[in-house]
Amino acid sequence: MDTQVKLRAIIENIEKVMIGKKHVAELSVVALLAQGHVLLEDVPGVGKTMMVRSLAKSIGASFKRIQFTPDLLPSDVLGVSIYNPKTLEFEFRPGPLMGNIVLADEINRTSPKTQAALLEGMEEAAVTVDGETIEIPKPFFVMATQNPIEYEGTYPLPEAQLDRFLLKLKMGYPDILDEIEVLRRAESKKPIDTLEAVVSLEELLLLQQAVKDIHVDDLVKQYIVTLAQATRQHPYVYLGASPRGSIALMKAAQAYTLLKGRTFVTPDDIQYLAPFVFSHRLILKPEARYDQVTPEEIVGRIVMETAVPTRKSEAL
Amino acid sequence: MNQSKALQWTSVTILYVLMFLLMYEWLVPIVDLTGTGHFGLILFFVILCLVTNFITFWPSFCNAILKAAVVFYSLFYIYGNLDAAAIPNLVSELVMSVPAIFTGDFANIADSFKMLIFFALIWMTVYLVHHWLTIKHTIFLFLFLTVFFLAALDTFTEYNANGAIVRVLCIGLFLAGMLFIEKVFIQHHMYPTLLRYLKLILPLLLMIGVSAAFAYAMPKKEPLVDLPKPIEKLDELIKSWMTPTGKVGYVEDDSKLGGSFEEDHTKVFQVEANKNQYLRVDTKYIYTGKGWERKAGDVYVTSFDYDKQVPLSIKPHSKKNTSQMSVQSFKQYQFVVQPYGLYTIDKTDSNNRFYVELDTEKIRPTKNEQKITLKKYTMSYSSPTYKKSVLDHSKMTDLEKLDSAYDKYLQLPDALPQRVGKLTDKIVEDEKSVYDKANAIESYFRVNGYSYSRKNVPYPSKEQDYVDQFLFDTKVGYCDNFSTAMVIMLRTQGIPARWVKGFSNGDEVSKNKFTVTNNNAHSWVEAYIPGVGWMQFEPTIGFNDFNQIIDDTKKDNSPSNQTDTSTAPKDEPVAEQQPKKEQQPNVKEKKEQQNQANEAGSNTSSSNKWLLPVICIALVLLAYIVWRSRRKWLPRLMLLRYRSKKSVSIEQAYNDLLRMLALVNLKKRQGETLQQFAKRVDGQFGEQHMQRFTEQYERHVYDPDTNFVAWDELKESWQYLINSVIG
Repeated sequence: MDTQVKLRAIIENIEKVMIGKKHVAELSVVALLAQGHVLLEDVPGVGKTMMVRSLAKSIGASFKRIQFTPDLLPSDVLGVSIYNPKTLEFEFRPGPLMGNIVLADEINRTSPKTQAALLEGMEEAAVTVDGETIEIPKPFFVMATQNPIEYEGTYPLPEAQLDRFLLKLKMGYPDILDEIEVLRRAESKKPIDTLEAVVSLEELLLLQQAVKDIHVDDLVKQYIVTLAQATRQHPYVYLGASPRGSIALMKAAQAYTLLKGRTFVTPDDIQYLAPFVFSHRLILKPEARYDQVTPEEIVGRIVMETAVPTRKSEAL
Repeated sequence: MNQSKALQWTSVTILYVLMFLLMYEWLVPIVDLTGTGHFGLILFFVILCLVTNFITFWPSFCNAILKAAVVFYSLFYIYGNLDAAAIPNLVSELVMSVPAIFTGDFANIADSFKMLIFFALIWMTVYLVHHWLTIKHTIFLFLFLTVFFLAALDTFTEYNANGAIVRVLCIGLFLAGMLFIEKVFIQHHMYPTLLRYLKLILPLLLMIGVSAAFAYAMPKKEPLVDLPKPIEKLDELIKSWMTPTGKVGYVEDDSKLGGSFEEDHTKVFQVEANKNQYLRVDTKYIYTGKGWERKAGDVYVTSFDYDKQVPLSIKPHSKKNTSQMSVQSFKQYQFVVQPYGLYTIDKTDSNNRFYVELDTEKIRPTKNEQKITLKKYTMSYSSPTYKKSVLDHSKMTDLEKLDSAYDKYLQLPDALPQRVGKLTDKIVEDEKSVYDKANAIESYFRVNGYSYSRKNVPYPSKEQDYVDQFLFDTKVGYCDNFSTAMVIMLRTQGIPARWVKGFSNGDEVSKNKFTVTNNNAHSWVEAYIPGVGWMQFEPTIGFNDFNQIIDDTKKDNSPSNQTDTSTAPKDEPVAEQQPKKEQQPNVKEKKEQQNQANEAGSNTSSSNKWLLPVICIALVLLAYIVWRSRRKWLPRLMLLRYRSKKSVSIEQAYNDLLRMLALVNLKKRQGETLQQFAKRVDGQFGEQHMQRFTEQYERHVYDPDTNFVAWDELKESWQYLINSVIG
C-alpha cells in the first residue's frame, strides 16, 4: 500500500502543524485527490492559512495566497499581460491563481466580478486573459475561506457558484488540550518552517489518477443518487443537490476510500462525506431558517433515514 | 456412668411408650371403623417395629427380615388359617391385586393385600416416628395430625373421640415436653441427671395435669354446625359429587343403579369359541326402585361336578352336538361365565367342584368348600334357538297356569309410579302373543327418543324410581337403564322377567378368539315365554338382537325336529335339535361388531369434545414455548447445519447470521451501514468478530470482483457470533 503510506504521510505532516484537526486535514487531502476545491467557513484565527500552507508544503507545491478585498480586480487574481518593449510582445504575468495550492481568503469580500473570475478558473483549471487561455499547472487546489460572522459589506457567493466547491468544511475551535498544545508549540520556532515535502507533485498526480480506479459499485451509486434525491424532496429544502453534487459525492468518496486504503467505496464513506458535499449545495426554505435547521442537520437526517442498500437484490 | 446409662434408657423407653400410646389412639378407630379385626396382631406388630429400633446385636437388615416374616406369618394366620394348602391361593390373591391397584380397580383388591399394605404403612410410620423422636426431637406434626384425625373421625363417623382427644393431648404434650428437655440437654451440653430430669419433668406434668383438669372442667360449647354424622352420609355426599368417576365393569352390588361411567379397556376375559356371544354371569329379580337386590338370608345352591350337566333354567339346545368354549380370566372373579345353552364344564382340577346359586344362577367354582378363582376353563354348550311358530302361539292365558315359583319374577315395588304400567299397556295393546308383547317393549326404546350414553346419567333422587326416571325424565342411559326398564315393563303386563348381568360380545382379535374387556360389562333381560321358557331380550340401543329365532312358519310345518324333553322339566325351554345350527352368518357378526365399534366411537367422540381443545391448547402452548426458546435452539441448529455444509456462500452465511442476531434484538436499522451495525454488534458481544466478518461481506457486496475470501477464515468469527447469540 504505497499510496496509502504517502497519503498518511501528508496527513501526518499536516498534523504536525495543525493540532486536533485530523478530519479537516483528511478532507482537504480528499478534495485535493478528487481534484476539487474546498470552501472553509470559519472565524479568523483558527488556522485556515496554516492548514493550507502545511498541505502545500507537504506536497512540495507552490503556495499562493490571495486576500480578497472589495477593490480586488479579476486581473489581480488571474494575472495580466504586459507589453514587453524588448520583444515587442505582450507578456503574460500570471496572477496568484496560477499556483498549485491557492488560499482565497475571505472570498465573499470581493466583488462578484472577481469572484466569478476565480470560480471560473477553479472550474476549468485554466484562465482566459486577453483571449488567451492559459492552463493552470496541475495539481490545482483552491481553498477558499469565508467568514460567517461579518456580513457587513460582503458579497455572498451565489448558490450556483458554491456548487463549484467539492467540500465545505468548518475548522472549529480546538478543544482545551489541543489548544494548550498549540500554545506549547507556539513557544518554540514555527513548526511550519520545518515541514518537508513527503509527496512530489508527480506522485500526487498519479494519486489523483488512482482515485479514478476506485470501484464504486452500482449499489453505492444507487445510494448516492437516493440521497441526492432525498435532498431534493425534503420539505425544508428549496433546491436540493444537483447531479453535479452527486458526482462530487462519488468523487470525494473515491478519494476518501483511497485515503483509507481500500479499493471500493462503501456506504460508510458516503455517509461520512455527504454532509460536507451536500450541505452547501442546498438552498433552504425560509421555514427552515425559522426553525433554525441547518443544512448539515438536514443532510444528517436524510442519511439517517435513507435505507442503506446492502444486498444485490436491492439494486435497481 | 452406669446410672446415667440407665437414666438414658429410662427416658428413651418412656418416650417410646408414649409414642406407642399415641399410635394406639390412631389404630383403635381405624381398626374399629374398617372392621379389620385382629387388633392384637396389629398392636404386636407396632410394638415389634418400635422395639426393633433398639435391637443392635445383629445387622439392621435382620430386623427387616424379622418384620417381614411377622407380616407374612400374620397374613397366613389371618387368611390361610395356617393351612399350607391355602398358600398358593393367598399368593395368587396378592399377585392379582397388584395390577388392580394400578388400574384403580379397588373393588378387585384382595383383603389380604389390603392388610399387607396396612402392615407396610405401620412399618413406615414407626420408622418416621423413630426419626422424629431420636433425630429431630420434635413431635408436633405427628401430634397435630393425630388431633386432627381424631377430630375428623369424631365429626364424620360414629367413632366417639371424646376420651381419645383428651388422652392424646395429655400424652402428646408430655411427649413434646420430654423431647424439649432432651433438646435442652443436648443444646446446652448438659449432663442429664435424675435430679435435672425431675426438676424439669415435674413442673411439666403439673402444668399438663392442671391445664387438662381445668379444660375438662370448663363448659363446652355445642357444635355450631350440624355436620352429617354417619360416614354413610358422607359417602353418599361424595358419591353425588363425583358421579362421573365410576368405571365400567362387572360389580356384584346393583342396589344403587345410575351415575355415569368412564370407559375401561382393561382386559377381563379371553374367550375362544366358534362364535362371538353374550356371557351370562348371574340374574337378579328383586327390584327396589333404585336397583336390584338379592334375597336376604341364606343362599341355596345346587352342587355339581365337572362333566355333569349344569343345572340352569335355560337348557342347551342339544346334548350331542355341542360346541366348545374356553375362557381365560384375567381378573379375580370367583364365578364362571356362562354361554347361553351351557351344558357342562370340563375338568379343571380334580379337587374342584361347582355350585349354582339358585336365586341368581351364578356358577361358583370351589375347592375344599372355599370359593376360588378359576384362571382357565373350558365348557361345552349348545346355543338355544326358538321356533317362531311356538313363539307366535305363546298365549297370555298360559302364563296364568304357571307355577307360583314364578311369582317372584313379577315382583314390583309398591312405589312404582302408575304411568310405567300405563305406558306399557299402550305399547303392547295391539300385540297378541306374549312374545310379541315382549318384542314390542324391547323395540320401544329404539324409536321413541331414547339415547344411549354412559355420560350424564344421574342417580334417581330419593323419591324417584329408577325406571320411571329413565322412561319419562332423562331418556338417556346405558344398558342398566334399558334392561331394568324392560324387566319392569314386562312385569307390569304379568310376564315373568328377570334382570341378567354379564358381558356382551367381545372384540375379535383373531379367528374365533375374542377379548372381553370391562367395557363389555352388560346387562339385559330374560323373560318367560310360555312354550319356550326363559328367553333373552336385548332392549339396549346400539346392541343387536339375539339371533335365536328360527322362522319355521312359512316352510317347515312338520314337527320333524325331535324335542329333547327327557331332562327338561315341564316348563323348561323346548330346545330344538337342529343339525344346521351352525348358523351365525358372518355378515351379522360383522354388523354387530360394527355396531359396537360405532358405540365405542360415539363414546370416544364425546370425550374428544374436550380432548381436542386440550390438545390444541397444549400444542399452542408447546409452539409458544418452542418459539420463545428459539434463541436457544435455533442458533444451535444453524451451527449444526453449517458444520455439515461443504460450500458456504458468504451471502447466505451473513443473512443467516442476521436472522440469528435478530433473535437477540440486534437488527440492522434502516439508515445503518453494515459497518455501523457490526460495531453495534461487537459492542454487545465484545471482540471484533462482527466487524471482521462484515468487512468481508462488505467487499462481497460493494466490490464483487475481488477474490472471494475462504469460508474457513471467516468460520471462526461466524461461529463465535452464533454462539454469542446462544449466550
